[in-house]
Amino acid sequence: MSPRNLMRSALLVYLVFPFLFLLSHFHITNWPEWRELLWAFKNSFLQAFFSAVFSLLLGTWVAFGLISFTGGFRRHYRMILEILCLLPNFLPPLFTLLSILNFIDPFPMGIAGITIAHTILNFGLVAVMMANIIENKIGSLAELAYIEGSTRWQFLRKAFWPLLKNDIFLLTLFIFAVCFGSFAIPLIVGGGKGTTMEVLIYEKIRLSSNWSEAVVLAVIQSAFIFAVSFFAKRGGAAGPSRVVNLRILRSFSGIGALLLIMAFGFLGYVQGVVEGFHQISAFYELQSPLLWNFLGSLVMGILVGLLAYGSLLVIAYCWPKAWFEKFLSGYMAPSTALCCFAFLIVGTNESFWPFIKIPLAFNLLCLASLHRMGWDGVLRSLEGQITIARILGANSTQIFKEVLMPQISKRAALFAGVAAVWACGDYSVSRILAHRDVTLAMMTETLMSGYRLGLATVLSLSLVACGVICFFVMVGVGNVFSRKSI
Amino acid sequence: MKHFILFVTVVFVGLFLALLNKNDETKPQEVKPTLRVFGYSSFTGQWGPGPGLKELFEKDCECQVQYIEGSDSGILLQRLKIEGDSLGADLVVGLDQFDLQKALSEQKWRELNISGLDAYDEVKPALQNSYFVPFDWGVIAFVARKGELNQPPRSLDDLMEPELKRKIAIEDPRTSSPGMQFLYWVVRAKGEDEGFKFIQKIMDQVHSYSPTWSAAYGLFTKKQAKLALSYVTSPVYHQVEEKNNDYVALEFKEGHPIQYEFMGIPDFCKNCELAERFVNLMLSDQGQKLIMQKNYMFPIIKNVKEGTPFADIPQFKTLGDFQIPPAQEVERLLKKWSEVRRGDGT
Repeated sequence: MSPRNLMRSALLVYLVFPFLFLLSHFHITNWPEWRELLWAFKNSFLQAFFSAVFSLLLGTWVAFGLISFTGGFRRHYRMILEILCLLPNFLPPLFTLLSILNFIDPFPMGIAGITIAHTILNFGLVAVMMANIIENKIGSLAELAYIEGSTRWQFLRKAFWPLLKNDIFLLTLFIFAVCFGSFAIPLIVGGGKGTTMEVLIYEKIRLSSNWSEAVVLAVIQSAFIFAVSFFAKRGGAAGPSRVVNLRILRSFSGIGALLLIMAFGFLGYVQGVVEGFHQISAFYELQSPLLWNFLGSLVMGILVGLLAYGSLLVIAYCWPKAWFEKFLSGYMAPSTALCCFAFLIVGTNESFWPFIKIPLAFNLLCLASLHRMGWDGVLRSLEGQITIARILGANSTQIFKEVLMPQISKRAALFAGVAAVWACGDYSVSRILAHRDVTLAMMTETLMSGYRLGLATVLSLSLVACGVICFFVMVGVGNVFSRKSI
Repeated sequence: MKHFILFVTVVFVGLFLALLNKNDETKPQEVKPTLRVFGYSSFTGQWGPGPGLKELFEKDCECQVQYIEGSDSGILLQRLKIEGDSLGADLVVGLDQFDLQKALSEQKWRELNISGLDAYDEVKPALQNSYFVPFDWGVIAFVARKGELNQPPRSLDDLMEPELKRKIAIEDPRTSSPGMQFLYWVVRAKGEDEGFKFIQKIMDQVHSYSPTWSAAYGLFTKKQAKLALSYVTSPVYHQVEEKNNDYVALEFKEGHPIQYEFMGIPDFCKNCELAERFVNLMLSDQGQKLIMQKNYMFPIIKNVKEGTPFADIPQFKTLGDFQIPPAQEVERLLKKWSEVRRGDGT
């Protein structure tokens, strides 16, 4: 077996490990009730569908605002706006949710509530991704259309939609998959009428210890996403990267919408921080745990970042291969609880093992998202170069080292940085796999479960700081490796 | 390139080792026995009673106490079931009365020999169990802000008042112990049929069924809700820690349910004698005081709360007799609740 085949197989085994392990560990003795299954599936589908559509609409509007800031000093504004867009992804979901509930009062529970919460959580991510797609794929055409005197509507109808429809579908599918597998939001704002597959899986484990039904549900859920992804078509190739004039699409009202949502949405969060500062003296006696947990978050974030960086590079090394591509675009990790319990049961959980198991579990949970977020697009845009290099006689290792690595290292590090940020804000994985508070996120959760929501809100600021540090460490790693590869 | 990688690796490995070394502080430095206590995060965490109890115990036990965190009581049981003796827990802390039957059916536990405790009358029935002993208790009640409600509810039926529409924060009984207490409260107070009719009606009044107590209470403190299902002792937290007297627990005429938190020694314990000594510490005056002050729950031993703000908490009428509901009964009620919640039931 060639090294590439070996690595493909190893990655595949790693990704399906929780399914294989749980299916062998918990023998399937009974199936979920059809009525219950269909009902939860319908709820999952509806909320994910509407969340994806509304995130896309709002995100595209904001993207039209973001593309107004290109070149020169405007790039710095763009960076600030992009951080604002991604802020909901930086914080534990409960904070974002409390902020949303603060400005939508009364908040509609059920499918409508889940859709609203998911839309507000994801539209920023869509905006950042959509802005990149526009600039890289139809930027030059938009500039030409503007010079030629096309109207915005004409461009949207004749160029934007026909050229980007596959990318838009993939982006929608990405958000759909994220929302389909979302857990915390449906649990809190779903109410009984909004019980989704993920919540049902949790109920099966928590209420009746019915692991076999839970595993079956997770398999069905993943199989559905896999089947939908199977029909997805590739997006168009990216054009040469340069600063282009995007006047034909840009809209400052998109920035207005972003600022408005953030201002209202995060007013509650800011209030929480201010209230929490009144109790800040409580942290005085906890300087040592704070410091160690900050360090723990940093280590955990960087470990996840490095693992994600490595995994993305492994995917690149194994690229292209039809079945491998199909598998990665369709793969959906099992629910967080199932995945973590699979890692918990395997081997010991003492000493340094949580620091190995948590990054492994987290990487497994987020790798598919990173891939769909744009890693597949990056690799597809380089397929032409890979083919030419191969025709010229280069072997796989040479292609990876000399052709791919210099071009993809920075992007891989960027995605790995996003994974590191997510890892810093997570406590659901570490709460199951760690034996004590080892990160700031876990400490935040402990504070919340003991009345101290204000202090937890203050502490969440340090989570953001930790996430930013991890992100820039990963960006630095990517920069160094890309320079040294050339 | 090589230098860079070397530099980054050295720095990172240094940080990692420092962190591991810190985490291993809880491991015996010399050959000392280690008592492993498995508990929920807010018990073992920095703000919980765990660290204080550990310090007290280690003073004269010639041993080390190591906590293993298990999120909440539901996850505690799952992990006990799945990991079994590989978890290495000598003592399990934080099960409530709804978990006990399940815990008994899934694990073997050592009998506890607890006698001579000067316990409150409300606690005495819970002490009859041979395998588990309560270490604190709380009276479940709705908490409100003073002056916010025109007519504060005085009974379960008052929760249907229009001014409370979508303003009550309750925990989901499937995932939270206080939520289960509320379900049981309604069923006990009204009977099962009437109780579930009431549950169906109250769905419109509830702001949300939160998965955890912290989420429900967070909604209340963020003023999203006017009432939160919590504990009679909750206002004391605001009084002591925030110097805020605006919170009040509301007494209902039906009587209130009591939540007990139990501990037990699994049969596979390795340091069983130490576990028993730790149980005794938790039931001592000193241990009870610490638990009361950190957990904001009532002590089970009399006289511990005297001279503290807990002594001033008005005594609420409670539902009375203590029961350990069978696991199947709990599951049946929850299934029925889920059906009502989905709009399928009654």
